[in-house]
Amino acid sequence: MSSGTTSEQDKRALYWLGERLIDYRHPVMIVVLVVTAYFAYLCSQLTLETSFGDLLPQSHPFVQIHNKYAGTFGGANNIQLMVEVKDGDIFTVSTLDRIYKITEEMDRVYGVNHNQIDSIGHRTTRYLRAQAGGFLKAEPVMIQMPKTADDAANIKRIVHNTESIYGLLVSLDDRAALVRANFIEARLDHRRTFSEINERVIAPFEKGWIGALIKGRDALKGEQAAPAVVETVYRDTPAAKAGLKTGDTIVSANGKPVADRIELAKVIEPLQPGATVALGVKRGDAVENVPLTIGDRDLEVYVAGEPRLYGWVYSYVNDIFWILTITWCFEWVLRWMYFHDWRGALRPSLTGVIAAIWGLAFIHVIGFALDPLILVMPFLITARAVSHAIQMHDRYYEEYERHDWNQRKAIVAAFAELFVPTFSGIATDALGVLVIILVPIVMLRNLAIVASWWILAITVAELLLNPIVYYYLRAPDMDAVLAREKGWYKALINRVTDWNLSPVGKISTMIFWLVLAAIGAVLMRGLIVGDPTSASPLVWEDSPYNVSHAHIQDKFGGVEPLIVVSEGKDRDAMKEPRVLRTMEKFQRYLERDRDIGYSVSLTDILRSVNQVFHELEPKWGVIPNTSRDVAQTFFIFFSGSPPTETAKWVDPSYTTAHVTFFARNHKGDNIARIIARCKEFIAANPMKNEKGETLAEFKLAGGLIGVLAAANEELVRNDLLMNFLGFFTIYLIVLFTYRSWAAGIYLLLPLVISNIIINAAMAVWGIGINVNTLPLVTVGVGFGIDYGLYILSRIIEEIRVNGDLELSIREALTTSGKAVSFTAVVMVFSTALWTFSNIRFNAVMGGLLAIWMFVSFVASETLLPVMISYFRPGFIMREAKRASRRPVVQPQAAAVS
Amino acid sequence: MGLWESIAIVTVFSIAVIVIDEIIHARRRKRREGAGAARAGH
Repeated sequence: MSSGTTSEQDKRALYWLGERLIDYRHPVMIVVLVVTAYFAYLCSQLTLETSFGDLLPQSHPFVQIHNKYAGTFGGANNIQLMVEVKDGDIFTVSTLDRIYKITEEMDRVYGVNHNQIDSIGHRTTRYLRAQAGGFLKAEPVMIQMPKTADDAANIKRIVHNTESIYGLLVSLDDRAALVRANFIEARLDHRRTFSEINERVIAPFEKGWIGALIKGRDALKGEQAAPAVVETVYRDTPAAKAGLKTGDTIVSANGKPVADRIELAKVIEPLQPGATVALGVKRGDAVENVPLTIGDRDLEVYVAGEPRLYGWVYSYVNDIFWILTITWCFEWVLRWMYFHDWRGALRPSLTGVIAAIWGLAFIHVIGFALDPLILVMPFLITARAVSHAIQMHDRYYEEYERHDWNQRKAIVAAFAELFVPTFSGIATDALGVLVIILVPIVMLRNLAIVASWWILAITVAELLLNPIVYYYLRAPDMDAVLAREKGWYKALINRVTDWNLSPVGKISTMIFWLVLAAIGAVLMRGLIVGDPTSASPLVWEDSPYNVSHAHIQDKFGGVEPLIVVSEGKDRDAMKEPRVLRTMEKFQRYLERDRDIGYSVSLTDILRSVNQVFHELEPKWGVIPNTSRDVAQTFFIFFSGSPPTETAKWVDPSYTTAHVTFFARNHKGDNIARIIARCKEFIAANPMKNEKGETLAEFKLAGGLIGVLAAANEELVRNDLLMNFLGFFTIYLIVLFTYRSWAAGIYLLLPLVISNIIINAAMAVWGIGINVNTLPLVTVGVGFGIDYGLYILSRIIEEIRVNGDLELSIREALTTSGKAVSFTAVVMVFSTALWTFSNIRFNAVMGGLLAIWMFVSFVASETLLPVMISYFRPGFIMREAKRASRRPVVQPQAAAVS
Repeated sequence: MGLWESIAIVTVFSIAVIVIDEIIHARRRKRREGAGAARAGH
């Protein structure tokens, strides 16, 4: 007897292989363990990081433009920090000083592009000032911290009169100021950025604020101690009420030594308003104890932007450990209850751990790093490993009983009988996931290779190591093996199988799946590419990140940049009035889109300088008529600034500039519409001179919106292809396994239906296809194929013995089907644990994949056998005919039945 | 919870399950052997 469609000759070979595996168990075991130990060492070298460039389709023209100009015009990795006062406006000495210091600290955060910081407290934010003699000069809005109320009032006047600041860096209600910083992609370190912003930029000025400016550590002298000297004490603040004075040195807070404002803020931050902190204050040589009562917070700081978002994701990453711990313990208990023996609980863990070591080591070998957002993926692969291990162990017990409690024969028989479905299942999964390699996104390509290897590594544990390990281990007690055939679980499986195979059950099953598939097909049309909401789908809607993001969007209209480059054909192209007018027209055109908040470009500066130059007459707020006038106007504004500062508007040769639009959100459909409008405008408005020669061209597109548009376009192009290739790969492997054109259709139909249902669920729950969800969805395509393979192989195996289809189906469902149902139930519960993750993406994908596993399992257990029973496929029935023609037993192989 | 805490917990838990299982099966074997011996004595 045999399983699958393996011939008797093949089967004999598999039995022979199993025997040799046991004969040569010592060398095989040593080799596997030595290699695994080396791989375990490599695993310890693994790092957790996200490379932004790897998430982008590098061959896409948008990304190429983004890469070319990100260093000068700004990239996709911006942080927006908003300071909002609770009462009054920001134009008080205390608040403006803090904005200045916050900007200064932001400039010191690792990876910040120092020339791409926008804030009223930064040197590059300038306004035009008329000097004596009628000269105009561009000066920073805040060259230093204001000291008096008059200084603050003067800054307010400047802000209100400067078009490029009011509404853009200071809100129109004067209650909030924005600090925008662009990060150099190659130097992005999300965890470091996150902690530096928390500790240095936010805490000392928000929750850790006592109403006095405390000296910070000198950025250029990191090792040098910086005593927490009080620089300024503001009126009516806790510090003033406590009697702190300029020049005091705070040496301790609640008995804890503090050396600078960061350390002081760490002590103050957790305290609630009204609490008292005992400050040790050094005045002269004496240290006094000064009690200070914490006041209500007078301002809030909100931070958004991609580096911040990933920082939050990293801060939640330890979730994985408690999820894995609970999963492990929970599964051990379930498996122990199912097998009535600890050996059954151990086997899937061995398979999963060894495959994980091989998989993780490979990640290190190919120079890839783990991304916290793909952590669900290893979990899924491990789920497959567990599934195969449970099948194999269940079969081992079955064969143990059948072979009169002969351990060696049982191990060899389980190995030989399940080799084909196990290997087919693994190969199907591995090749199915490998198709992701076709998406031209580095992260997905790496992921495809790693996941494929990891899945293949399951064979090492399951087909090489475990038969040997279980030969070494003492065989289970007979009563433990026999207990599997009793109990409520077995009774439940028998009852469900009886109903499913009854005439009513068969019709009900067919109708149920048909209706479900039809409903799913209608609903899945709502599936979108990209993000479906303005909030980030990576973290929960009420998470600190999304709350901050929403606040900033509300206050400033839009903060997510779309950078369109105006690339000139020659030097000084950006001084051509025609080019500049087209850029301005482009701004006005796209600002009419409901999801564009505002835009900035060189033309804004030009118009306002021209107006100031003409005594603020509104009619002069236009682009000058000649390139000479344009050049003169630029000279007025840029003459006092170094090229590094002006480069964020236009390159030094005036060949290339940009128009930056700030979008209100990055919903997939909005991005697609905005890009389509850009293309329409560009096609209708070529930048040519009178002779028809091209002066400049618009190039799409940088900034977050630009690169997301590129990623979305690639995903749209590849999503259908991925699905098709995933199914096609499965079909091919099934074709080779069963040597039947029809077998693939029988096995694929339950999978297609579960895919339809999951796509419908994604559409209904607003989960878009993006660079994070695509790999999981593609791996999911093969979900349940191993369930189907085990059941189908067992049907064939049984029919070769008894020749009766109905009996074979029933036998398959109560043996292999029982193990399948147990595996599925365990994995569904374990995967569902991810829904408690603080990373919304992992939680949602965990929940979704749990449902996916459940649907695939139910479809494989109900629809597949019913279809086989109805249509009596030839590739199964021919085995029944052979069975009736030949004697059952093969001397070595067949004692099994 | 970090990586090492997680590994420690799952290891201790697994060993505990193995030990409990062995104790249960050892008792059963003993009981069975006792019952067998009693039957043989009859």
